[in-house]
Amino acid sequence: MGIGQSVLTKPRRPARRRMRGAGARRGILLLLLPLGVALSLGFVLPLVLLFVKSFQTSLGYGQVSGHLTFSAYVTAVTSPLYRTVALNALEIGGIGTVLTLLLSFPLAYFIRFRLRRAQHTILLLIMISLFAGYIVKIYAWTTILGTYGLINTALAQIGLIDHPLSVLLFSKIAVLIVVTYLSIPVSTLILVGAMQNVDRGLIENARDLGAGGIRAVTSVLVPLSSTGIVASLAYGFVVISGDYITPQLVGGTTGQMIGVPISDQFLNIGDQPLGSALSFLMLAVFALVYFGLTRLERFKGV
Amino acid sequence: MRGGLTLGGAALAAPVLAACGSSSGGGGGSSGSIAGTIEFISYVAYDLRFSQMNKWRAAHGIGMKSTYISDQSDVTAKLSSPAGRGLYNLSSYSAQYGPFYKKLGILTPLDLSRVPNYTNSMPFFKSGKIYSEYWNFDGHQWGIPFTWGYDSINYDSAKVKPITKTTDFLQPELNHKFAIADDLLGMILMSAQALGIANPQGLFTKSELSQIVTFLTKMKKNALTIASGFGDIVNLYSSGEIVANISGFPGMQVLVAQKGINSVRSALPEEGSLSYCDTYFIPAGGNDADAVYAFINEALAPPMQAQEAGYLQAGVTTVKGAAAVAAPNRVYVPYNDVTSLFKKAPLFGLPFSPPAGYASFSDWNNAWESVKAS
Repeated sequence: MGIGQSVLTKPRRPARRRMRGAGARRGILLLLLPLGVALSLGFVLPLVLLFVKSFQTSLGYGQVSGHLTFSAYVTAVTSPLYRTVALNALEIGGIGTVLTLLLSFPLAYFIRFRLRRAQHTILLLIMISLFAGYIVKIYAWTTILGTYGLINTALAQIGLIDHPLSVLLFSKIAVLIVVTYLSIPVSTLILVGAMQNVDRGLIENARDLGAGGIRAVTSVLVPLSSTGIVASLAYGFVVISGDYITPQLVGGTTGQMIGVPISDQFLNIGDQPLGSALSFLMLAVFALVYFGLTRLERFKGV
Repeated sequence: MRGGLTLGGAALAAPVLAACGSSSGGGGGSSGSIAGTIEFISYVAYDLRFSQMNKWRAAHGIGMKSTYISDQSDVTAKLSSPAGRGLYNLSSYSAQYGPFYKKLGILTPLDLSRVPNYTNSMPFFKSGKIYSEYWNFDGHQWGIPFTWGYDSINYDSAKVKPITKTTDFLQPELNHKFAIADDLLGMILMSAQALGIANPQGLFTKSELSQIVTFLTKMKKNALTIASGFGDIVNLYSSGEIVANISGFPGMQVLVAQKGINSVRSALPEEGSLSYCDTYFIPAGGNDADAVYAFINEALAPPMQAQEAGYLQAGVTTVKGAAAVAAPNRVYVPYNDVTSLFKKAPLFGLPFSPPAGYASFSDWNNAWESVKAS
């Protein structure tokens, strides 16, 4: 090695350290291997198979031909039927996501900055709530929102209504209430996680410098926890827009979303290519929304 | 074909099943070594896992592994794919699927000498036009019908005057007070009956299918909800959200009664309705035929049929079996006048390969999807 070369190249680490670094990398790779295999087999591979299926041709009744075409995508895009329910899903997804954030952000703030000893207990309780059955939770809401449910009974007893409010259940509003409720626990956990890295002192400093409570939160806490906010929005949007059980149980005749026809293509109609194409189009929309949200985060300079 | 019905019915009926005694082979019990494993694929409950049948299987060393489906298309997809061949040795098809499955090469011709109890079937299930269209054609027997029923309308007689017609569901008196079942066949064919355009072949022109969609869309606008399953409808009755439903089945009055409401009644619509009949078959390439034949034969034995009626909340197919059905389970089908029922509620053909100009079964599916999304 010449003198010039030794000057131009980066100083090399001692051999032992290098070996230790390589060993550590191998160790990390080994630790990640099970997850990698599980993700490849349980997520990537099915996704690839589904993607291939979306280009196959349905012969009806669950049968497909290997001939690859865009026909499923053409049907998915041109059919007014799927456009209507997709837009409905995006609308409910959008509103539900914002509602989820508006409700879970203050809760996360309260847990992170107001609770001290009870913080872990509350977080544990939120996590335990996730173990309750999804459908059980939805059914629980039918007893709250129903014609003879908790809300209507209470309103009638205090004399505010003469007849039960029919709009509470089997409507778009009912879907919004339930999907928002279902998304709040995970969204809160994401936000609390993001707020853990925010120094309480920064908010206090802002208050000392004259900022009101809301100003301190919007100027300091929101930018510093924006990654969590974006993650919460992305999570909420995907989960809510793709829901196909809630609309069926509480959506009535007006709350249909794209998840229902997608599920029908697989479970009832047997047109797997169309179901796959609809799924991938929704996936593309989700990816675009996620991309938009991350750009928004960068645009804010955080 | 009536997956939702079976799911809802069997799941809710199971807890009230009476204790089962020992079975007998009826007209021809199984003998000799029939041990083996039944690899079953069909709707939940069609594997007849009630205690009397379980005891019979245990006594004969017959194991059972079940794969449950949500729709007949699952059977079509699984058995017609090369990977699915030979994996299953017992399945069921909704009667109308017989010729279609034969064309796909899914079916095995059956040896009726190994199902002696079949000779005890009611005439409708072992002779006549429907028999030779769906179960015995091209010179072979392909399936053994074992359960059947018809689509009804149901209403709470304590809250609403009797509902006797499908068109009643368009009336303002029922506005937002009834549920429509997410039942493609039931809703399309009952609407066709109401519009007077139904025919036994199940053939509709595209324009007739549009009429059906318009009719159903009007009905949907008058409905409270499209319920995802019959169990859901039962809950809606018990919570007081609905006073009626379409389509349904007579067993729903029993299911709602189990929730404390005894006033729900069933009616066969005046305009007519539709029937269904599910049929055991042995998929091509299946093993352990002895065990499978013995199971099918046992399913037709009178004591088993008596249990099946309550377990599946549906009709049974043999004469002696029907006679053995207990009184509470006789409400599901009119055993005393089977022929008239099938006239009023035919076992409609399904347009898998319709003549040019007629709507296909896929078109029906799309039509129902458009109603749901409208």
